[in-house]
Amino acid sequence: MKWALGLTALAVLLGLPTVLSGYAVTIFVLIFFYAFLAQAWNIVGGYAGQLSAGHAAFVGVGGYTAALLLDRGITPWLGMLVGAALAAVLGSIIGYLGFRFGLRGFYLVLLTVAFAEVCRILASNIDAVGGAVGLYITFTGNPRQFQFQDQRAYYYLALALMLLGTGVVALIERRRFGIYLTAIREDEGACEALGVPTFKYKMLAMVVSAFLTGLGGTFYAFYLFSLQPNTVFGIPLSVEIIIRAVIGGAGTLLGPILGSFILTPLGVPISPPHHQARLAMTAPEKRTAPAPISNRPPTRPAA
Amino acid sequence: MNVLAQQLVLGLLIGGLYGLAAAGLSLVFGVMKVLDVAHGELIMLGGYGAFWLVALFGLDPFAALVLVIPLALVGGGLLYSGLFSFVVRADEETRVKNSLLIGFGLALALHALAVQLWTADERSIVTPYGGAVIMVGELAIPLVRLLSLLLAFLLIGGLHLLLARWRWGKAIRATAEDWQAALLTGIDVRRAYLLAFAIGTALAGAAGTLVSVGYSVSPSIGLEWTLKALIVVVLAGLGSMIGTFVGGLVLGVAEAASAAVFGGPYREVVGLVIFVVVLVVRPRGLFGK
Repeated sequence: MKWALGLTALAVLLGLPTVLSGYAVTIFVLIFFYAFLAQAWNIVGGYAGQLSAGHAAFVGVGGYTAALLLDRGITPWLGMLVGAALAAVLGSIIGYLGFRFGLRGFYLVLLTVAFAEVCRILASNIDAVGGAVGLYITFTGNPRQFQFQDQRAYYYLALALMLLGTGVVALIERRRFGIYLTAIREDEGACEALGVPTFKYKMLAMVVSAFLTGLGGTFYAFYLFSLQPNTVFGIPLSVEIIIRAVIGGAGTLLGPILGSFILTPLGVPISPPHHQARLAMTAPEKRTAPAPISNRPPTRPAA
Repeated sequence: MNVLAQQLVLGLLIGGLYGLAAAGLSLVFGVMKVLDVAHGELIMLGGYGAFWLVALFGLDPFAALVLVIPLALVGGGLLYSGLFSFVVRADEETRVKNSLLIGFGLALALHALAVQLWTADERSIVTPYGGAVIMVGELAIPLVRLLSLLLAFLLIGGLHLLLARWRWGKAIRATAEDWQAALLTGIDVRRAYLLAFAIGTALAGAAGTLVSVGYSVSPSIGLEWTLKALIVVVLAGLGSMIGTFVGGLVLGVAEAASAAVFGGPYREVVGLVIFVVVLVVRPRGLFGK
């Protein structure tokens, strides 16, 4: 029954692009992509209950690495793995500091936020990685460069990412690893007393989660063609990721997907400008030009 | 040498505001064990409140505090009853997660509201004495910022006395220490939460007023002030308001020193480095109990 439902859902998702408009495909790409990020967060934030509010750092590291490597002629298909590996290294540093020194709850949140902010400030101030302007990727439409003329290619890629993330979580959930993580979330002290190496498993959860999120960073970069420090390393992106997992159900296999299906379409009309640009490219009808930004002079007091 | 000294003096002056901004956050975090990440947005609103009181009624900005603080008290009470009262007694994991998301949602909403109402322009209060400077040797000390530092100190001192002497101040401290024990001794814990949150918001309003006088406000300053306040809260630790004020001064001076040594863009980094080091080495902070 469960399998039949899953396979039907998969068949529907595989077939959807043939009937959907370009605009709807774009929305689905965003749904899958955020579901994937939320699923990656779910491993450490949901199952292990170790709240990270700095996952944007992994998206940024992954995306920047792949984009910079492309400048040196290395295909993003490889750069994706390098970026994810670097994100995993960053994850292990954050995890080591956080877990070795026993930071929990809000204190772990603050540590992860601090790391993401440091990454943001560094990326904004180092000219070799584009500085505050960030990096722009020229569209070539060459699949070797992770770029596609056809919207549907992105659709299937994002779907594949989401399935990959969900597959990894499903595997973890069934194994000892997943059971340890849930146990750590429920009662860490009891776990330690029973001889569960909690530090090791929390680290593993963080590293796997960071690696997957780093993969997502490459997709982000080559789907939106721009990386800006304030958006890819920013706190708002981390919150976007968490909120999907939490609304759908953190620590459950399908929660992040459900959360993304609920929240991503809701967010489309008010999504950040770089998403708007992407959506406008595929908008169904010609839209009227956006209203000019108000030029009303600021009212200042007559001192 | 003089340039460095001047930088440090300016760092000390803004440090007082960091301390004031952090005091409200620290009180709320200490008592409710809930981190209000919309604190910076409350500071922003306080700044706009003062700005409009000055612009529309021609009040003196420091006198406007007399109106901003009670308004913020009421606003804080409403925010607590409407939003945070629902998470404060949840179990730890839910409380951390949900209060963060509530706070962040509130921050986004307030930011968007401020942009809609008042545009994204930067504004600051202009006073006749705004340009006045006191010269000490070769160091220039802006009068308005000096007054702000003094006021911040007075407000935090007042809060310290309030918590030490007032009946409800003691109730708030008891709740912070152990809410179950406080409840058993007959303290209305819910009211202590309400009071702590309202006072925290009032402090944010006061900090906002001082920010809009000595510096400037715009709808997007919220996140930055939240971060500064968080750094100070972690640096100073919970439980001592005077300690929080000192923590603010330390951060202000450290930022100024690092800006002078490494260059402007890296002034933000020193705070974050302090943050990480304190979290790892001494999570209860310098003055934490």
